[in-house]
Amino acid sequence: MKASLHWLSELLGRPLDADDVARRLTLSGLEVEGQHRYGNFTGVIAAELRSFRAHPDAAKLRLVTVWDGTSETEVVCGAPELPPPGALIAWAKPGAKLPNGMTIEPKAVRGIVSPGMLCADDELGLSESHEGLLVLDRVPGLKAGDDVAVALRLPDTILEINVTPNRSDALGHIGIARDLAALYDVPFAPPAPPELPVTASEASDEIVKQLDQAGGQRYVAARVTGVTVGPSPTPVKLRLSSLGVRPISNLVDVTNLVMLEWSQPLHAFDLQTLSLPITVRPAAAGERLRTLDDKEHALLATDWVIADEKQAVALAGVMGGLATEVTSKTTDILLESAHFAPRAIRKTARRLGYVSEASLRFEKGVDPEQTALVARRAVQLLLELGGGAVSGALIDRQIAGGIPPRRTIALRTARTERMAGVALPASTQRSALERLGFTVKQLDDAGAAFEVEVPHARPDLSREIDLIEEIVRLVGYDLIPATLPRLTAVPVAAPRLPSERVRDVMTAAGLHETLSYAFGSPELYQRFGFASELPLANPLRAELSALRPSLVPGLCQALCRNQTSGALNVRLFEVGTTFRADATSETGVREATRVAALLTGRRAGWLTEGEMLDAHDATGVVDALAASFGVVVTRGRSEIPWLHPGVQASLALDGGAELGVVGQLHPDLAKKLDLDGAVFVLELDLGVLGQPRTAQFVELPRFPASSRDLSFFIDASVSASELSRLITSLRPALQVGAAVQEDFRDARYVPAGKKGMLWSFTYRNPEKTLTDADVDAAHNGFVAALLDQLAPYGVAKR
Amino acid sequence: MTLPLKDELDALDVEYDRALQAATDEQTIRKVYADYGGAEGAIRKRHKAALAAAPGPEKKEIGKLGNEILKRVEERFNTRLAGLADEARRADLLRHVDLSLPGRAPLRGNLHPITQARREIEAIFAELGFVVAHGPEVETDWHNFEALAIPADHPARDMQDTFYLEGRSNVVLRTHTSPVQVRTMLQQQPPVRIIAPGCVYRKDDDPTHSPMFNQVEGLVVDEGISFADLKGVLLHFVQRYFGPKMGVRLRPSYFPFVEPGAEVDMSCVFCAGTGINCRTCKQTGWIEIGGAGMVDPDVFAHVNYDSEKYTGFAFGMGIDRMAMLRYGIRDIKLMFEGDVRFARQFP
Repeated sequence: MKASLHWLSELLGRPLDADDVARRLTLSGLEVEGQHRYGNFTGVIAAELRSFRAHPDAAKLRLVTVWDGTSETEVVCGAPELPPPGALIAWAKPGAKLPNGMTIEPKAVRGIVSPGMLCADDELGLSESHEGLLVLDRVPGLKAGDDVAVALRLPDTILEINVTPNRSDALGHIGIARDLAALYDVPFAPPAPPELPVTASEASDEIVKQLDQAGGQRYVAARVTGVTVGPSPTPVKLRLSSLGVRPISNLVDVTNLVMLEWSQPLHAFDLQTLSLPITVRPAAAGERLRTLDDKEHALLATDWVIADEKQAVALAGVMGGLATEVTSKTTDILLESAHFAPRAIRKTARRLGYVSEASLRFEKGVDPEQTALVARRAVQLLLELGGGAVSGALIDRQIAGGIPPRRTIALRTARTERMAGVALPASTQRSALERLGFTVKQLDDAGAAFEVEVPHARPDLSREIDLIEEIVRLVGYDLIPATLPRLTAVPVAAPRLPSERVRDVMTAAGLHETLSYAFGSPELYQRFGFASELPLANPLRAELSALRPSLVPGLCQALCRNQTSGALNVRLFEVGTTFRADATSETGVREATRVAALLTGRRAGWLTEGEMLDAHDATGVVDALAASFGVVVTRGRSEIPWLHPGVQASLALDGGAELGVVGQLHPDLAKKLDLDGAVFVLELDLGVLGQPRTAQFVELPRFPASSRDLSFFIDASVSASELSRLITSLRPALQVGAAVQEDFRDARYVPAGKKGMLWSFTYRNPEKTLTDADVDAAHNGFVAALLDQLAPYGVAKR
Repeated sequence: MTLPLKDELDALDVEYDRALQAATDEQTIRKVYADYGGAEGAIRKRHKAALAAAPGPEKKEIGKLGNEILKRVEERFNTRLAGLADEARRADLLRHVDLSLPGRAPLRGNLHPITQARREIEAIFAELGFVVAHGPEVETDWHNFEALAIPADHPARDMQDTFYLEGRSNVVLRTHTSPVQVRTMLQQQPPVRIIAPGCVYRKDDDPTHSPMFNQVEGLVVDEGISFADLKGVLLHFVQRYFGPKMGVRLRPSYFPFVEPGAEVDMSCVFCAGTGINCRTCKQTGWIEIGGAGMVDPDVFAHVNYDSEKYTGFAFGMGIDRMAMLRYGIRDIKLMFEGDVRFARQFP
């Protein structure tokens, strides 16, 4: 909401300082987000256009003779069209300063020295318009030679106020002025337009029939006949322009001006196009209406319309109908000032995409107390600017029983103090409420309880807490001290997922943490073979339109960006939420917290590049994680389509619960994703991984260990993980460790279909030093058992 | 005593000496010693044979002769070894390594600045006895809006552009972390003192907004909790996180689930709150970091808390914004692109 400081100052009847107003409004809830000067120029005088002639040397320029009250001067002017002689125009004489910072100097234009320039709107910062010269039309008291800025009371300061959705009253200058009056503690009386004869009798059925609660509380209509539609005087145009509203005609300008004053939208119908009486009613199913923007709408029963005898003529509070629109030829109008039900307006405006200054005000709630007053105000201005006369009485139609009485709210002053955490005397509280224009009835001598009557202009106030906020914001949040709450024992939260531990392991493993959007492209997910289970109903764009089933696609996209920017050695991880459809969940979605990592490129070298990473770098990360959590993560056979068929494994918690996958991204997929080189990835579900097991100390060995090696060929299909599990199951008492030393597959030395392995086994007796004979005995027995078990897999000792 | 034996041994000794001096590495030296002075060495063997062949009375003298020679053989072997070690040591000490060359980098990853900021924030609130709570990112309309006093068709719904799930008009991507308030209060009775960090989603996409960002929610409910407490907790946080000279300003504002409601401003970190020529704070000296207020009685009603007995406050702040202010990051989009050049800057 833009607000004019001059206008506020006029309403309050006192000068205002822009910075102080901005600060006070901001600190009391109407945040001033910015302010700028409007019409910031000096040295521009009003001059009467006397005559003009063509510039001898330039076809597009003219020499305009102007009179400044004492003498005539010729000024070079480039305006394509000039106002008729006699018009007052703005002449920036040498020495004038314009809003863009320019100082006017006499300047030769195509050989003729021009004493300054004749200004268009934009040159004076008054509007964007550069169509023609600014004509100073009906500026009170202005004559040739007068200073234009002084006559127009410029510059003004325009405040950009962020009005929160609860403060519908502050969408008009009156509401802002009321807050200011309360803040400055000065009296405030809004403008009181002249009274008009009013009727609410049955006779008014001729004009307005029927109104009910669901549609609104009040409908006021005034008939003005003999109006001359034309441009508004310059001061009116500038006031609208300064607030970002384009002047149209006196008739339209009046409705806008009054809306900006009272926050009450108005509508004008061409009276001659209406077949009275009119009715406020829900649209009939299938009813059609062509609106001002020349679009025809099929209406729903939830839309409220203004209808005449024949048809719907306007969408209530949203947009007028084309057939009853006022035009430049209109002479008789029906002016509407109404209270429509917020919910109804919101529904229709949203459905049709017609969110306007008017609909926004209706949906936040206009003041039904002032509907007639605003109509009178509009009539007053209309008669002033467009002439004509009021025809008949002002029709004031209200819902059965009249508009509801003002709300009365009970307030306990001690409650205010408890909420605020500071002592606030009852007198202070009372004063704050009264300054806002509320009626306060004190219920006891001590001032422990009030009964507060609030006007309809503040639909946001209905409960005690609402009044407490009003008091505290007026007293000022700054006056509340900073204290710390009493520390009481709070219940311990459920144990959290081990995300933090995982992050630490990942960074220690040399990976950089990244965060990606939780939604991405379904097409990308499909490339991985993930079904696009959870699309968004209203995505920003297709690439961000489905919830991610896995973190890996996001990491691949990050890699792609990195490779594009020249980074080839990339090690990333992400801990984040993934989403799957699950009919048993409250939302239909099952969330999982996962960790994923991606590694590609080379290991770190010194002064030169290191070796290429391979899949064992990825499993090494898994092993580091397992070690940190004190668990065994086993690898199993897997057939993940998006991984290399020969370089992948499923991960399980000690051969049990499925934990995730590790492997090389399928080269075909990598190519489709525009990724270079071998890309190794892993992904684990942290919910399955669970909490880190608390480490249990094992006594440090006091006696030395001995080791024995075993070298053999075996079917290449037998995995290290399977061997490891078998070895553990056969482990003799003295054996304390087993480790793979070699896995070789060189076809020159290894039979087809086989692989060579070298394992090293460690033996130790915790009680004494082992003899060679002890070790040999244990080892030989173990080897015999092992080879026996492995016989089906073509094992052959080497 | 036969002189020829001594000559013979001396000749072997000379031969040994020559070989020893010629040897330049430990392995050869050891071999030379073994060849002459070792158990199977030429000198020892010759001496042994002579001793065995000698008649009784001469044995003593021959033994003495041999032992003396063998002793010298061993001494020279040791000296030669020591000399070699000494040469090696000298050579080693002459070595010069240019330590101004870049070091060999240990493998080292790092946490995302948002994670770093979140951890610090959590630690600061932990000092005040807050525990961390979490909630789902896909939420029901009820938890995200209704229970927070934002019914359908409420104008406040315009404040947050919401993502909906296809085919589920009552399921949203949470637009704030505030539903965690609701879930926590439904699960436990006061006192409550939680912070809830997490991802939230709004249909916003411009240079200063990202459709996904991170918030931290705070909620305290107990008997006697006041707006002054809210102010104190926020001030403590800002001063711990950004520095002891930072101030906090609360400005009246509107969030349907708190009342009195406030926008939270803190001293501008770029101009130290002076506002002088500062573009970040538009010369006000203040920057907005979140919203806060006293829990609205309507919210308490939704979770069956007695609002006459208990009062509480809640606040929400952007973690990403904190991190951006802390580290001087201007474009929020960089946070979510996974660029390693970006990541490496936050060790």
